[in-house]
Amino acid sequence: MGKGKARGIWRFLRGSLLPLALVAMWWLSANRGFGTGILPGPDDLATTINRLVSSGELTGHVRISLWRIAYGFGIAAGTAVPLGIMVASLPGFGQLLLPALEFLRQIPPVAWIPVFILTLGIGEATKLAVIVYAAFFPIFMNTILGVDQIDSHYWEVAQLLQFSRWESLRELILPAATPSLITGLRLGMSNSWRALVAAEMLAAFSGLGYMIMSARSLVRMDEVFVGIAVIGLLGSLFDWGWRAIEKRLLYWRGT
Amino acid sequence: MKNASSIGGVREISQHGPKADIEVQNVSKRFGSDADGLLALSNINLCVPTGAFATIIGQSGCGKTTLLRMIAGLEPPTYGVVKVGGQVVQGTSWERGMVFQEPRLFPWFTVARNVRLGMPDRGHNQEAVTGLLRLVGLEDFGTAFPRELSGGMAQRVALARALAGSPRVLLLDEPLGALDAVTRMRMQQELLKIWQDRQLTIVAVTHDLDEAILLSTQIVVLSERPGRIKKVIPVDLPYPRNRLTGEFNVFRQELMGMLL
Ligand SMILES: Nc1ncnc2c1ncn2[C@@H]1O[C@H](COP(=O)(O)OP(=O)(O)OP(=O)(O)O)[C@@H](O)[C@H]1O
Ligand SMILES: [Mg+2]
Repeated sequence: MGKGKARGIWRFLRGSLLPLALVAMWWLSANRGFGTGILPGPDDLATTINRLVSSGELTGHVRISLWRIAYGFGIAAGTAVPLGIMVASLPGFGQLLLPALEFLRQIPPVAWIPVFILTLGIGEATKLAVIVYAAFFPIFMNTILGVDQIDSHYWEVAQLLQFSRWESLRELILPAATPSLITGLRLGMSNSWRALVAAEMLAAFSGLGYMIMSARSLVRMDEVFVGIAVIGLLGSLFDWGWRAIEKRLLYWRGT
Repeated sequence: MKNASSIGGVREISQHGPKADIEVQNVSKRFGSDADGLLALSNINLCVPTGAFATIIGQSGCGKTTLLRMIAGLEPPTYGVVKVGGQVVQGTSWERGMVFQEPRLFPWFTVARNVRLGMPDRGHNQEAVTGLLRLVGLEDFGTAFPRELSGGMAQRVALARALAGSPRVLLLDEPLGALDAVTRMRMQQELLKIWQDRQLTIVAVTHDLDEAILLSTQIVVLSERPGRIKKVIPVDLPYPRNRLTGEFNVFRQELMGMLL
């Protein structure tokens, strides 16, 4: 037990080495007169964060971005998982949908922003559309993969045990595809997070992406950097959350 | 019933309950297309009467598993029909339970949940689940996950799951193959007891000649691929059987002679 903990601490320290070195270099270059002199140093950021948090600006943008992700990701997961299961289990359905989806999958969601703005306007619908688009495909593809990979041995057991459709879904398909499903959800979320920031930079008046863009136009590089740091941190947090969920749901696999 | 394979020293068979005679009539099985397909079984005719214990022996790849799968309804014959209780087999049924060469437990569920899923009502009767686990000697492992079991334990859970459906016919594909000698002997006795208590009709595949003689009322010897029936040997020794007797040896020698 103690040994595992010590190893965990070592791993954490080793993982912190590179970020710490980068921050040190950054501090040096900002304070020792390298570069253009426009870049803020890490110490400047602390004061900026303090200011942005106490004015409620940062938290407001973060809240809006998170809300958009929650909505858009929810819609994407809610459609991509059932659709993926249907495509994987009904061959005719897949033949109908897959060519079109394969084409759409290749287009980065940001490329659709002009079209979305024209059709959906510059309100929330455009941002949601971008998030849904970005999250949909990783979830969809991994769901199909997960269902396709189910060992036919288990399907024969399901046959012998007279599983209904619903039982096949609950007792076999969903648990068997869970590893793949979680991979898809995790990728979908990080995909949509990145796409959201891009969308907010191009077509929004709120959110972290907008915060960066407006700070840029005011040449507040310290605020730009705070925005970037928060985006990276939240993205890592999502990933960490998914790993925790994965560990919980897949305890039956052991370690 | 007036088939050649059922005549002879079949033990006294209990005839209560519905009939579960297994009739395999002119069955051939080809995998792949007709031209370049692989003929796995050729013109099999076999009758296993209700309450009998048939074992199938033959070399690896001769089609033993394929034959069991066709009786289970997992695989249609290319030619011929399989009937159970006079009805043509089409698809699986609670009437026929099967234990595969591998345990095939759902790794994401506990042992008890796996057994529960073997019941038509999915185990609303917790007592019955416990009873089945006790039957296979695993009452303490209900909450374990399949990965925590040894190969032999997992195979016993698979047996409990198959029995959970209260089948009339039990199909066993080398169910004791993964067991050590001692556990194997104990399981053979358990299997005989289950067969007699539940008045099952059993078809089992085994590679072990002694096991075939020890357990079965008839031994079906298959030839090399494509599998044909070489001979059906009725075993008319009384139970419990003793491997050390001269009569046992007579069967042993007959089987050895056929397979070598
Ligand atoms: N689904 C399949 N597709 C193609 N060929 C198959 C299939 N299943 C079995 N076969 C072939 O049919 C033949 C008989 O296979 P089967 O599994 O019934 O043999 P077996 O007697 O059970 O062998 P073993 O003792 O090794 O388990 C083999 O040659 C095998 O390659
Ligand atoms: Mg086999």
